[in-house]
Amino acid sequence: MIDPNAPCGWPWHGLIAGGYVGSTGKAVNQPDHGWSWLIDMGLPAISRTPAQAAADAAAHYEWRNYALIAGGYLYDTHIGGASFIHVDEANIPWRITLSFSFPASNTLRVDVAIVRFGLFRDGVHSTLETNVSVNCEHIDLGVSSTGDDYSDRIPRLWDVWTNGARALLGVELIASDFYGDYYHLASVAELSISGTGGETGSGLSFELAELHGYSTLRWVDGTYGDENGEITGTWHRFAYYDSAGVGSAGGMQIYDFAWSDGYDSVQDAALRLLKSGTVMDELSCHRDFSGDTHSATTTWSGSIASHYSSPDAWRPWDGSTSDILSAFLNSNPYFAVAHGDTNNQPGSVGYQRINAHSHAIFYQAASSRDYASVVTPTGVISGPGAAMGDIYFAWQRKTGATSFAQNPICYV
Amino acid sequence: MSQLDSRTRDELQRLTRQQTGRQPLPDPANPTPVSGGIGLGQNPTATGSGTGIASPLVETERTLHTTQMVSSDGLFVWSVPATITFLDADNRTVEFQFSAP
Repeated sequence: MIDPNAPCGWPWHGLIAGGYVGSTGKAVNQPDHGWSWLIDMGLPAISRTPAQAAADAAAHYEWRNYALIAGGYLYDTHIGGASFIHVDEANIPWRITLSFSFPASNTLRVDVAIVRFGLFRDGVHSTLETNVSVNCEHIDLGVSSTGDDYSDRIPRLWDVWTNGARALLGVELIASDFYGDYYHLASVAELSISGTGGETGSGLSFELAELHGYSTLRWVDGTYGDENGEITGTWHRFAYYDSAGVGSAGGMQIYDFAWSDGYDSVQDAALRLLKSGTVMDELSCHRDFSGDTHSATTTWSGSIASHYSSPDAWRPWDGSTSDILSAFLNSNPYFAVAHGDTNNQPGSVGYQRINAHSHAIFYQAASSRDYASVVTPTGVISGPGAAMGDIYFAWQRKTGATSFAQNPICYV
Repeated sequence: MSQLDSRTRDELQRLTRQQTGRQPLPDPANPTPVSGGIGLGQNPTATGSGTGIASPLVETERTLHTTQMVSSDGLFVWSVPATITFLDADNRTVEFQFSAP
């Protein structure tokens, strides 16, 4: 006789690293990114007797009443790049697969394929199709208001909230110059699903709305290069749900301000990490020069500010190359931020977009880096400190656990 | 003691033990019931060759228990059969009945 109370499913849990689940010895596919999607139907906790618990521990089993889709893998099976699982209001799971098109210059259309998930043999297994569209502020090709000349655009599924209730979509625009391609988000849209699917999925309702438009995600203000000038360049590069479920965009900004009346002068410069336009971390330098006292005061701020003291790091008085700005400036003043993710110039600041909806600025020493803080979906958290190269990050959405490593990791 | 004496002694002891364990015969008016080891044959209705189920069995019908099995995380669901009906090679109906989970 079958015991209906016996646990079954996927019993290996922990941090996937090096192709294994924690210390269980279970070999799995290593996800190529560090975010997991949570399926949590609110099922009762799984009860085990002391003897059963001991047997579980001996077998490296852990039975959970929820699931994590680790880097797109469920039960070590990839469910597809634009697919996710939606649990409807009757706790019935559905597999949702998205495809994208642009029926008009600023319109994003999402075709949705719906099929019952996880039901063996019995029931309806045919796929139902529907579609939704949204008008976006600016996802058009050609020359934009910021002067970018866009040649192509890429729609993408960026993140999925718990139980697949909502999905975060993004449209990236691509501009090119001598140095390569520049990608940035031009729109972040949210697909919301509600209702009860019934037998075929026809009872599900889909809504698509733009959360963040072009003017929030990409803007340039001011003119660069003037002695008395100010310029702010802002890009957003990726979209994610933060720990509260708010659809957000990760972005970068370079701010450069200079003013002088020939007697006193003020200079401000900053490299900033943004969350939907809000500064989360930065490396900034503020300098006042008094013509009366012929003295200057300099203030550095941000997570790696302790590595700097002299204002010359940012803008040498003699007009020579800046240790910081030269790392990011090329012929295009925002080259590194918009195109290259890392910078390995010793003594300067580097930037890494971490493949877990996270990013960080680090201090590049002669042979190692200092990651003091990392901007993640759970907020700004202490980084791993010294690292020899790129770092990896993972976040467990059910427990809130976080982890850093020198190699790819993901919670399951 | 000679060998003959020893054999005589053993035989006497054996006879003594048998006498100690002797039981009365059953009362003919209240016989001891049959407890096993006896097959009571009853010929099945002759509907085919008379040689039992003939392979292959072909499923013709399945009924399911109302209680379903669900994975611990709630994602996977499968039904448990209550009965599966087959037709064998001699066109006879065979039914499997399964316990409820």
